[in-house]
Parts: sequence; structure tokens; C-alpha cells
Amino acid sequence: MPVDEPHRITSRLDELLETRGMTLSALADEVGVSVVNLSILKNNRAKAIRFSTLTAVCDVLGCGVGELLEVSATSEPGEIT
Amino acid sequence: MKAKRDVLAFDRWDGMALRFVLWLIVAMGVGANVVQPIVTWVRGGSLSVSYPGTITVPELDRVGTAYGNGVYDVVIDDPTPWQRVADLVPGVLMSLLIVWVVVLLQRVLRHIVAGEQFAAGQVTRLRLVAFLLGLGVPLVFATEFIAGGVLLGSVDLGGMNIIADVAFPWLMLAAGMVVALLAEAFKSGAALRDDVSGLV
Repeated sequence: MPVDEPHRITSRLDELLETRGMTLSALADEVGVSVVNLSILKNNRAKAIRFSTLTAVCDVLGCGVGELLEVSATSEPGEIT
Repeated sequence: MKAKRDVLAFDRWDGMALRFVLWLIVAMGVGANVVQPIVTWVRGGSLSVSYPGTITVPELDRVGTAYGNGVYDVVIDDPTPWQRVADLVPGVLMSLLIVWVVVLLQRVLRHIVAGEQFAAGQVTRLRLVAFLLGLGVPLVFATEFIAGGVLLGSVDLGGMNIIADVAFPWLMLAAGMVVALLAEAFKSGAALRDDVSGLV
């Protein structure tokens, strides 16, 4: 897949927060990233994530990268599900 | 700890000063190129056309003289309306060009001061400024050259030939190319901004 095409990465941050009973603002305080940026990640509007942010979020939530982020499957070539 | 103040930073006052200078340039340009000729026309004043010619000073021939070229002012005492128009056209074009460049620079400045240096349209504005400086100014100079030739051709120069004294505005061409280069830097900046936007 060419780099220029839109990505299919989705965030499961909302599910992880709900499972752990944590609010987004609490996570932001722990991680040291603004609520605005975490909201961008949570709502799948992020285009890139720093490794430092990824590490901090995974450490606080006690999860792996694969639990936080996943690649959406496509049912047909070019179609995103 | 208090952050060290950047004394060379372009702040709000610099922006205001630059705006003032730009509009002062517009006022002076329009005044000299359009208002003053029109006022002279209304008052029925004479028209002055530059004539490049050879300088001759017979008194200096005794001590040896190297003749050179100079610019004389040929005065047309009672110009016809079309002569007035021919004299006015280059000035109007130059004024329009000056206003257009200043308006574009004002828009570029506004976005920079607002912290949106690489907003959409900045590259286009800078490229347009580059075009107006690098090609627009020489075109206006060419118009002025042609208008001057037409006016000199319409008067009796007593048998003297019209000498073509062409001075290409190399400085404006270079300035236009520098602004075009700056536009490329802004283009890269916009691309970097797009890469960073949405970065968590």
C-alpha cells in the first residue's frame, strides 16, 4: 500500500479507558499529553503518534500496542470497513 | 526562570511598522505616478519627457572633453490629450502593480503574525509577488520606454535622433527570484505542517 494513501489504523482507547474505569483527562494527566491530543487519538483523527506517547499510554493503561491500535480490515480492495 | 527575550523577534510592533511603510510606499507611488500627472493635466501644465542624448559643452572643448550621455527633459508646453494619456499609462500600471504587491504582502504578513505562517494560499501569494516583481516591473518599464519613445516621436527634436537608453531592472528580477525561492521554503513548511498536524 503506497504511503500516500489514507491509513486504516484505528484506536481502541475508548474501550481500554472504559474497561479500566479511567477518564480521558486522568489518562492525560498520567501520560503528560494534553487532553486535546488524546481526544484526537481516541476519535481516530490522529495521523501519527510519537513513540514516547505510545509508550506512556501503554504503561499507564497496562496494555500492549496491539491492544491500543489495530489495522482495520478491508472487505474489498480500496474499501475500508 | 524567566525566558530570555528574543530581541530580534518580529513582534506586533514590527508588523504595524511594516504595514505603515508598505502603505506609505503605495501613497508615494500613486501620488507621483497618477495624482501628480492628473493634477498637472487639470491645471493645463506642460509635460516633461526624458530624452537621453550626448552632452556637449563647447566651453570645455578648450581643455579637452570626453563626451558622454546624459538625460535631458524635453518639455511639451501644450500637450494633446493623447500625449497626456501616453504619459499617464506607465504610471497607472506601476501604481496598480505596487498596490497589488502590497496587498499580497499584507495578507502574507497577517497570516505570519497570526501564527499561521504556512496557511493555505501563502505559497500562491508569494509566487504571485515573485512574478509581479520579476516580470511585472520589467513589463511596466518596457511600457514606460515605449510611451517615452512615442512622446518623443511626436515632438520636433530639431533633427536630433532618439537614442534608445534601455536600463533593465535587474534588481527587481533578482528580488522576484528571491521571493520565488522563499515561496519554495514556505511550500516545504506547509508540507511539514501537514505531516505534523494530527501528530499525537
